[in-house]
Amino acid sequence: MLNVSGKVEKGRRTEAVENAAAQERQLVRRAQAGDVPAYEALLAKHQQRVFSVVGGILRRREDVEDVAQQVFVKAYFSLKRFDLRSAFSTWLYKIAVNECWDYLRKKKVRKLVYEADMSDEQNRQVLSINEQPFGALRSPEDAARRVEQQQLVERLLSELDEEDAAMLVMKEVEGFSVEEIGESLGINVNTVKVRLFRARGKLVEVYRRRMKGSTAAKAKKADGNP
Amino acid sequence: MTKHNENSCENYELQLEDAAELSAERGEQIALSADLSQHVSNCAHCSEALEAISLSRSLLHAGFEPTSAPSPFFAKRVMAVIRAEEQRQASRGSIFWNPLEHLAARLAMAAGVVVMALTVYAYASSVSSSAVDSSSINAAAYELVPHQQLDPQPQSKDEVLMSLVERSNVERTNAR
Repeated sequence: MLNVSGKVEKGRRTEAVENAAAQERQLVRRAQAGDVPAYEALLAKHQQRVFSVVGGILRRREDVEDVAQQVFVKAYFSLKRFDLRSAFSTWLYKIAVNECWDYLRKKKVRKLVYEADMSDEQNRQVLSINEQPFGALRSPEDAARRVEQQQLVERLLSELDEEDAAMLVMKEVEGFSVEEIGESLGINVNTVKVRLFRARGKLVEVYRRRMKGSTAAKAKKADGNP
Repeated sequence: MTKHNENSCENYELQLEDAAELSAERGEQIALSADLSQHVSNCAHCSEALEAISLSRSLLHAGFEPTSAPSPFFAKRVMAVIRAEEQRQASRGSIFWNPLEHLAARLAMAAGVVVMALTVYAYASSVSSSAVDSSSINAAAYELVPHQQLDPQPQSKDEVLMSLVERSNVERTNAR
């Protein structure tokens, strides 16, 4: 009985998804014919997700809105070339991803390589990460600390491949599924899983190396100045 | 702990990633299947990998917050940019065509002037040619008249005097 109701529920969900997809295709066709309100509807529907994709790759709040705006402008003027073979969202996210890489190239954001190990204070901050509930920092001091923490994690991520770092942030921060990441970046789902797995390992390895370096420096300092 | 076996661990790596995905979706701790749990407890590599999943997750959550929602004016701003871009493209199109339009208008005017000039010239030349024709007809008619029918040229002074006398006689008779 439960099994039957489960199947019915699944069937309803599939039907709803198909209806939504058909409605979206209809909106896309109207927008392609020059119907501006139809494009506005598509924009309203996808803006949050585009923000997440862009935010996951750029990781700079101040750049996200400008790039997301550029994505929607570009999509509007390329819409007639969209052949509806894939979902509109897939096509749109690909534009977003390409726009992000272009933006990073133009800005010539160099990969930050930090030779020095983290300071004791930085270590303390990173170590305290696990003790703080997510989103609990709200006072000005906490906000400043949050910025510092972001910079520290950004340093760790800067040692990863750019695409791997983007995948990790999209997965863990923005809440994308591996399928969505694969769709956005044009990568096979299993490849996404393997790359995520290895990126996590590398991130933790960099983190531990820095911790170790910092602890060793601290011990050396203690030995030199008894 | 068993040694890391690349082939068997590769399979478990994907399972670990799936477990991580499931736990993230449900907002729960990572739950492992019995088989995976047994492997992780016996494999140092996979045990470290499991730890790496938790630690990387904590680091990333501490470093970043999910991107905030777009402002309510975002869509309006995008549409304003689109409209401005459309106008810019339209004006760019007219900037390209305007000189050509001017050139075409000037060429049309010049062609009109040339056509008018040619018409006037053709009319004038037809009028003058008709005048030439009539004079040539007169000339032809003149040439048709035999020399002997025209007044003969005087051969000497005596003939001139005689002709004057004859003319005065004729005029006198006419006057009477």
